[in-house]
Amino acid sequence: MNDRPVPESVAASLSLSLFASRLVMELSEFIATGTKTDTLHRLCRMGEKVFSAKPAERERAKLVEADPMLGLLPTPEHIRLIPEACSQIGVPQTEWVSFMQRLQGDLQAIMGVSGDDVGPSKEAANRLRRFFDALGDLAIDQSRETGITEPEDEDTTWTIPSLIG
Amino acid sequence: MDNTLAHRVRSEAKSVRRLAGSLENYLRRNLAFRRHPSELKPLFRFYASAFMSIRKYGLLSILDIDKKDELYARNLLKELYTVKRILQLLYDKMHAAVQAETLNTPYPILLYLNKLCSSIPAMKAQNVTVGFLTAQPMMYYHYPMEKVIALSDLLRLTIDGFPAFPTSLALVGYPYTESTNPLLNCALIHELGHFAWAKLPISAQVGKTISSLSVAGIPFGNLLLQRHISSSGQAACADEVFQVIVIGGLRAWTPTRLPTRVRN
Repeated sequence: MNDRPVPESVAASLSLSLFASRLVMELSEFIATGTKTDTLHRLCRMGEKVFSAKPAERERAKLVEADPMLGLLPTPEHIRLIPEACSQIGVPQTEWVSFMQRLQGDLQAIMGVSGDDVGPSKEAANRLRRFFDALGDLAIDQSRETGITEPEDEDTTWTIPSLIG
Repeated sequence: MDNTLAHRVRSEAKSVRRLAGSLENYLRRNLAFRRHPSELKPLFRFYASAFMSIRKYGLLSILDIDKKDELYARNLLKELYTVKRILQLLYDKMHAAVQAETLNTPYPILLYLNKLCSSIPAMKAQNVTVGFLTAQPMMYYHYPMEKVIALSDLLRLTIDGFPAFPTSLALVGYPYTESTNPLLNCALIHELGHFAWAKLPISAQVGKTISSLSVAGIPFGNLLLQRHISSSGQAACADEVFQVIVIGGLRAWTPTRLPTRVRN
């Protein structure tokens, strides 16, 4: 393994990948057994935050400030993954914002399901699974691209000689 | 689901288990033969418990894998791969902590910094303790752990028994070769200031004022800071300027004789 510090952006990509893959698995279990676990509920709530991301930088900054789960969408690069994930599952990139609203509704539908009433939400769960499957793939690719490089500038400070110099 | 996919999932799970086991052994072996400052204990406890839970997860995750559908298996494979990368990320900080044994660190300064933290009410309220790590490159660091904390929150949803990261621990890294530098106390207090900036509501109180001063170029308008503004943004620059002021202020309070403690 490499001794050099791992950049924070890798931690962010891994967070997104972990979140996406776990949500897909929980949704698969939900479709197969109709069981809505506590983990699924919590992941759905976190997913809503992914969808509330706006393309504008200012909006993104507000979101990150307001939400401690900033590990999910910390950089503009991560937001760019969302339209790309949409296009991979056949949704045109120009329609990604309205598609996000639909997925947000799907998450709310799953959270609202109670008892045996899982029938209509299976279609919603499948849509979500396909999207997050694609998003997880992209996040993994991004973490590979970032790799382990030198630490980012904001994590470091100057050594004493350079401060004096 | 085809057998090849199930086989890949099983071998990835085995690899995760083995890697977590090796890291746990590495940690325990080093803790047995080296003496570390007690401030790092919560961090080591976190690592030991994290590796144990990941080992167990590697075993449990593949139970009934043959009965699952393909999308589930594919995502489990992705998850296992991600967990393996996370182990790499955990190792990175753990290795730096393991190297920072008592004999290699400026122990009196560590005691002094902890005493300083306990004298600041807002930091005392959060039980802040300082721990040193050794940094590989020739730089001083404050390790911002926010994203690792967010990641460990997600891991707690994924892996049974995964521990919470000790959020009150301020991790400061310094180059191994600088441990006898006479100006080390200034640099380490500077790094501790970054932790305080992130944890305490300092930026809300003085951030804008410092930013406006640094943008106007008075009195911090030197080339180094201008470069820092253009590369990291105004907020990061305000943090950096504040730390420069903190060094000056706290240096004046630093006693000439640092506290010592006899260790058993």
